[in-house]
Amino acid sequence: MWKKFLYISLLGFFCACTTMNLTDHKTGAISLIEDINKGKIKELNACSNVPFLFDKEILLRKADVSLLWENLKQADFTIEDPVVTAIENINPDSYKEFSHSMEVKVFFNKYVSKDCMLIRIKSKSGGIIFIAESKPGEKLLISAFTGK
Amino acid sequence: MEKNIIIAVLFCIAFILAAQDAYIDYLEGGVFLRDNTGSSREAELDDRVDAGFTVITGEDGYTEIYFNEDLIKLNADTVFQLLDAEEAGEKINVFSCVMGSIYLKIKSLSNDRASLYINTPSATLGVRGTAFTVFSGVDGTSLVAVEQGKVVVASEGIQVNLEEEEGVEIKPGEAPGMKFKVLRGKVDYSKWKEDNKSAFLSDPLAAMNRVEERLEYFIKNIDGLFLNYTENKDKLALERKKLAGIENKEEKKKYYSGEVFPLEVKTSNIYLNIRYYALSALSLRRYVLGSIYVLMKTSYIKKTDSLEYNRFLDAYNRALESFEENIVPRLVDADI
Repeated sequence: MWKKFLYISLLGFFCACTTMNLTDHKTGAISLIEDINKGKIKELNACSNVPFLFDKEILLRKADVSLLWENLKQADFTIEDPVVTAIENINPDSYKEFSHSMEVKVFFNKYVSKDCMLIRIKSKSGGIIFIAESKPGEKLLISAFTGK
Repeated sequence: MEKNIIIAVLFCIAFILAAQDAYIDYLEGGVFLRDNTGSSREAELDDRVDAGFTVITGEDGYTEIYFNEDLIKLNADTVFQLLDAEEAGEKINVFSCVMGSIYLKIKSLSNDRASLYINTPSATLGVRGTAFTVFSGVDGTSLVAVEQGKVVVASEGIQVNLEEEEGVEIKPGEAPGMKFKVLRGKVDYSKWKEDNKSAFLSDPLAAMNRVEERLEYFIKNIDGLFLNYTENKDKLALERKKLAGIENKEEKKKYYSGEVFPLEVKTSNIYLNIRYYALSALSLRRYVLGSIYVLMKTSYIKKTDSLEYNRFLDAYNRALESFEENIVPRLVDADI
């Protein structure tokens, strides 16, 4: 009897962890979008991994990633009414959301951490995808960003 | 590559740097070292810079690299690579300033040696005992300013000889521009960089077409070399088969050194040059094409219906397709 109770408790615990993890990603994504909308360059730079994938482009320099966020701010780019529609595990075909090229495939194999998730967002500006990982108590760490 | 060989003949034998040590002698601010497996880390004093390595300085970065007596200073926001190539049967190093600006003071070349090769996204420079600065802009345009000595700038089959206090600008896919006078220390790189960016944004399609042309130049060279490589590889396979059939040890040794070994060297040298062009094309694609795409995408993020933007995108996607088809087969995962 107690074994059943233990197994059920453990199952509940793991489900809770997964849910919490997804919640962290969801909250983190909304927070990231807020930073983009407010043009918070410092915060965006701090949570952007290098190398960074933007559409089909692998940005190898911090300066290029910073320029991306600065230029978006200059263009008054905002993601209006964002809604997180899905948070998915990275799979062998995830790279195709960005490009079918060898470079992007290698980027995913080499630089995208196992803890990363694919976050789909719907907004007035169109669909957005982030590849990001969430660590407890920390902001989302983003490795890739594209519009759909 | 045949054109580069002609340049080498005209301006003496290529300077062999493979035996020399290259190391970081000084650094400040953000300086990063990317090795030939693609791993990147913060650079440290005395770090070796080997062939295939990339040194990247951040916005506040600065570093000095020594090749024995020769000095290379990398200013802020610069991407510098050390590549291997082959010329006249000898392995040579080629310095590549992909983006940003570098200052070189070359002391090691004597009268019986000569050219040191510097690569930019738009040109190849042959130098001899000199001090000069190379700038590479966001769209692959290069500016060379000579402080001391002589530099030969070659692009699209045209050469320009630069003497002391002379400079020239070269756009990718075009011959060098007109020479102009450059007083020492008087080139304002920040202003040139901003002017270069403005010029790009005023006609992005023209800039994109030039980058496409430069990519085609690399592809043309690779195609020619690959044909040669395949032929030699087949010959080598045949010779190795013959070698395997020789039983006598002395005869085998003689056959190997007389027939097989020279072919091995020739074949690997051809492959070295294929890799040189493939990596040069990758640098163009990664740093130049990448930068101009980010600039254009963010500039037109609210005007994606714009004709100018869509024409640029067509040319950009065409270049990417060509890159995927012609260059990617010559790359390995470690290059990415």
